[in-house]
Amino acid sequence: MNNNRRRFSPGHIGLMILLLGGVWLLIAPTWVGFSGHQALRVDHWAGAALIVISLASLVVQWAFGLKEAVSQKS
Amino acid sequence: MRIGRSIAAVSGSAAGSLVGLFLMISPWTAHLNRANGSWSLATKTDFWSGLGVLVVSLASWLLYQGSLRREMVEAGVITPEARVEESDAPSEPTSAPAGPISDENLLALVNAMVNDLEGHESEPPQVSQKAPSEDDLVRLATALLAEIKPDEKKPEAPKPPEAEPRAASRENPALVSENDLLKMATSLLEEIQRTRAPEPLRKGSDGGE
Repeated sequence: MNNNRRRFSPGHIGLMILLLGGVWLLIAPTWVGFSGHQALRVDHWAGAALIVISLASLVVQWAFGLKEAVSQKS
Repeated sequence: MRIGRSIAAVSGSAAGSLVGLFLMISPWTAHLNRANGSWSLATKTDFWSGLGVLVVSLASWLLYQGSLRREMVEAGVITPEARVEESDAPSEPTSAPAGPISDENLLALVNAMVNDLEGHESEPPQVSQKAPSEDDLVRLATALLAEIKPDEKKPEAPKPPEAEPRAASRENPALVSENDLLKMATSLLEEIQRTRAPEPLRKGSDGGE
């Protein structure tokens, strides 16, 4: 139908990298070895926020794309 | 539809960049550094992680921003010209359709400006022509010369009085010779011409006014 449509744009890839960055922030304190510090909370909250933001953005884009595909079929 | 997708992506990337910025400055706000000011392990991890997140999210934001603009142009929400002028002057995009800034339009503008400039440059001579110009002075001078030439004959009228001295010299030849008289007459004529030449000019200028 829409042959020009790409499955993953560079922006999508950027958001996925941000998702991975959020995961890294969640595991960084224990990975690097500074757990127990106040930085633990900061990193956890920042990582969680990053995961939520990037996931929400990706989900919203997916939903819009799905809606568009449905409207094109109908 | 696609615009909504891009808006969601742009806003998500912007939020991600804010998170990255917060991570970069969090070691200083949470006082995670050591007492001597050197960077602790947590500071290094948070700063570099935040920098990476910031760079990636900014790159993603720029990419989505470009695609969002393209989609808005395709949807007719904005025009490419309006986008250009939006960055320069936000109030002007309403007048953007009047001027797609192409080379032809620029050439036309430049030509109009050049014509205006040439017009302005030609005006001062017109103004100077209204003022007493050299042409007017030349006309006056020619007219005055034409008046002077007949007048030049008039100074010859005093010659008869010169002839009287000649007659007197004939009567008293020892006083002045004829050659001296001739020289005196010619010098007098020259002086008369010199002195009388400005007078008709004044008269002519007075009469012209």
